[in-house]
Amino acid sequence: MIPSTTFNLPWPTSLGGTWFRPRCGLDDLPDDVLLDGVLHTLIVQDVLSVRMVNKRFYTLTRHASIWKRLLRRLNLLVPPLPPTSRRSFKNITGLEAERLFVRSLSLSKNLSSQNPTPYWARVVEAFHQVQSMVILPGGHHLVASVREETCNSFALMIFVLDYRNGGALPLAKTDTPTQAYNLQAKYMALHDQNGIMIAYTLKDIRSKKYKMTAQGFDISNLNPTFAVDAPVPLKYQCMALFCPLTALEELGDPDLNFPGSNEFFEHARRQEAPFKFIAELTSASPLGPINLAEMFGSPCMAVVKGSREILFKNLGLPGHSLIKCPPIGVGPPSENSAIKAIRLLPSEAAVLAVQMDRIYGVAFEVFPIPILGTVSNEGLPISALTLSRTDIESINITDNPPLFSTYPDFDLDPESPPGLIAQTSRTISAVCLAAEDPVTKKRTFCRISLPSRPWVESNRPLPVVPFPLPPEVEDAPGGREAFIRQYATHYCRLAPTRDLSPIGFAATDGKMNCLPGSNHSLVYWNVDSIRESSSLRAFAIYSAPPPAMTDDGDDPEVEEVEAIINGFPMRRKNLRIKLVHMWEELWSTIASVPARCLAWDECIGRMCVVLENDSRIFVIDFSQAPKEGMSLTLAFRTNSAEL
Amino acid sequence: MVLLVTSDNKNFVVDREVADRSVFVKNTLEARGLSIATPPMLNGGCFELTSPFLQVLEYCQHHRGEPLPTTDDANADENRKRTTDIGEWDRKFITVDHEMLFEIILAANYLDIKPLLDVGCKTIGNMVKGKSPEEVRKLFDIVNDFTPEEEAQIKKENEWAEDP
Repeated sequence: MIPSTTFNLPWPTSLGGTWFRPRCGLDDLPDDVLLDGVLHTLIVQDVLSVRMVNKRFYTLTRHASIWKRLLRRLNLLVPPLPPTSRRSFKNITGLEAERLFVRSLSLSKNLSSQNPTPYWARVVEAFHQVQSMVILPGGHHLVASVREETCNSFALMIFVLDYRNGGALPLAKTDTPTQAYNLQAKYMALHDQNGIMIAYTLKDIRSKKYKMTAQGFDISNLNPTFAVDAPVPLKYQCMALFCPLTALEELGDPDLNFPGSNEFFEHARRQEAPFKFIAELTSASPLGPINLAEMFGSPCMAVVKGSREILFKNLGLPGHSLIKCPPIGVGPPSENSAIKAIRLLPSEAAVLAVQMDRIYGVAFEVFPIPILGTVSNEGLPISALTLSRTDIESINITDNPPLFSTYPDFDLDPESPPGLIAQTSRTISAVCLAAEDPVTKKRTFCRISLPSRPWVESNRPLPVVPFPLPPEVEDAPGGREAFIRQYATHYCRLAPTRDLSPIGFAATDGKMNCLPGSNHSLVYWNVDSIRESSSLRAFAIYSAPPPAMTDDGDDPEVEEVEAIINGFPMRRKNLRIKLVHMWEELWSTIASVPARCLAWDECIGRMCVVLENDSRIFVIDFSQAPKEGMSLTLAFRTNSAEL
Repeated sequence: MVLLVTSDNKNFVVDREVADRSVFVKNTLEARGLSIATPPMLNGGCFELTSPFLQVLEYCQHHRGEPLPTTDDANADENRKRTTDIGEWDRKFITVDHEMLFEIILAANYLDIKPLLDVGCKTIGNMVKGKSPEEVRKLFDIVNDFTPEEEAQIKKENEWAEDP
């Protein structure tokens, strides 16, 4: 009864028999069995160990499925990728998936060590003197405001930092009439197209008729931070440009010819100009910090105008609106009172403004966005928090990195503990740097966690930092009560999830600066506290506790978290600013000359440093990343002839 | 009852329920409406097939009638792979020499018996766990085909994962 049909066998059966019998070994198992079966049961160290066994396993362990599986089980934040379909979680290559995993885990390990150390550093030729720069979350792109030394012209440039084999490449450049300040850049979607939105401010001579009077006056020599008297009236502009990622991908296509070759440039010339003009706001008063956010389903921009005004513009619509913020305190505003930082709050249709005043301290206030084309005139904030400290020198508000929204198909394993993932996106932190205490000689570094929502309907008991009242109110009979009645409803609602967490840090001398991050902020010191740019003295990384822990009233500053992450026992001593240990060779290079500007991406722990009168960008990574190919050495090399 | 014939022409008569543990046999029987099937031979007929096949049959006998894992639920699949635990009976069953283990895996792979394939793979996974590359090579008799430079390079790349 044996059927006449035979199976179509994938191998010849005629060899049947025992006349030869090679040993059946692990190497005889087909790739899919090894990949799907064996390698999928392993944790990351074992995968890395198996990788070293032989070339076949080396190749197998580069496979995307292994690293995507490890990523799904990773109990850490995964760095975002530029939001293009090529880089969606589904389409990323094995190398990219491995890079995400290795970066996330190695950064976490590095930053939880006593002295974080850079893993990797390299030099990128920018061909221009970079004046300021922004790394986009995930570290893939860098936007820079540059100056061409020879002809004193200015431009904006976009670099790709994770080009093939760890290379970097300038991709696009557009001239600006004067130097671009207050540079901001963010991945955003405009009319369903993903790209980089770039916003910056310019200042220029107001009109042509002053050009003659202004002969010999170089606008670029004006100090950017202070309103210096110019011999002629100036105009201030806030510009928004958009660069679609498809255009950048086309320009930096790794399958293309070798960068710098004729074919490469010819291909680039055939492309349309990648920068698209989006908006321009002009003002007669100086324009300050900018914030970009997606709001009302469209990219929006806010910019500080003068001391206490905020211009708001929906970049998808014509027109703009203006928010006039009242001065903090009572009585006439002091001269130094000004908004130092802003942040759009998309879910609240509001803007958070941080106003600093020499007498009253610092106020965090939330103002609703007025209807398009209108002016909200000194309306009271819908919620506010005040800090009665007058020694705060600078304030930075973090912009949360995009998280899992970047990966629409990144479904979390239901069994994996939520860890630090979801909550992290929910908190806004403000990082304040206080002046040196004359007695203790310590500078205070403060972090304030603000709830991202609800801002208005918070019903928990709120610790209110007492608002300092001027003597005339304090002394008048019933003055204090009257004042509180008038302002209490407004001044009590905004509460920090944690009280101010000052961390004393002894910085002998020099100027302390901070590049803020939601989780990890980069703190650095300059030798000279007065001059705008001076040599770097030290670096440190300040890691905030996971926000989940700040709600239960425990002091997160002393909390220790233990977790097993993919087999790595992780012990995180929270907070405390940790001094960075730089390698000798690297440190002697970047600390020898005054630093011009720095940028920081907390997602992959990437720091960029540009030195004075130097056309190079030092890219320093605190996370490890796998390299493409086998015979690659990309160690940092100093070329003493260039220094 | 189903008649299964191996490539070295050994005949096995087994219950349909037992034969159905192999998705390959099950689908073939269903597709052809047959009650008798000749499964193809395992691994090119390069070796004696009877002994791994007997092992596979023993496994199928023991697990007969259990629900077959569904292939369309990726999540369940992932969870199944995640747990490295192996059941008591399966563990005893799979405690065989390396060669037999690989042959069983090859057979399970070809005959599409997922749970058995998993047991085999997890067993290898457990053997590899915590071992150095050299130990893995020794264990499975694998030749190192890297040049010393390449080896040093990979070692350097992996440094980050080592405990400080």
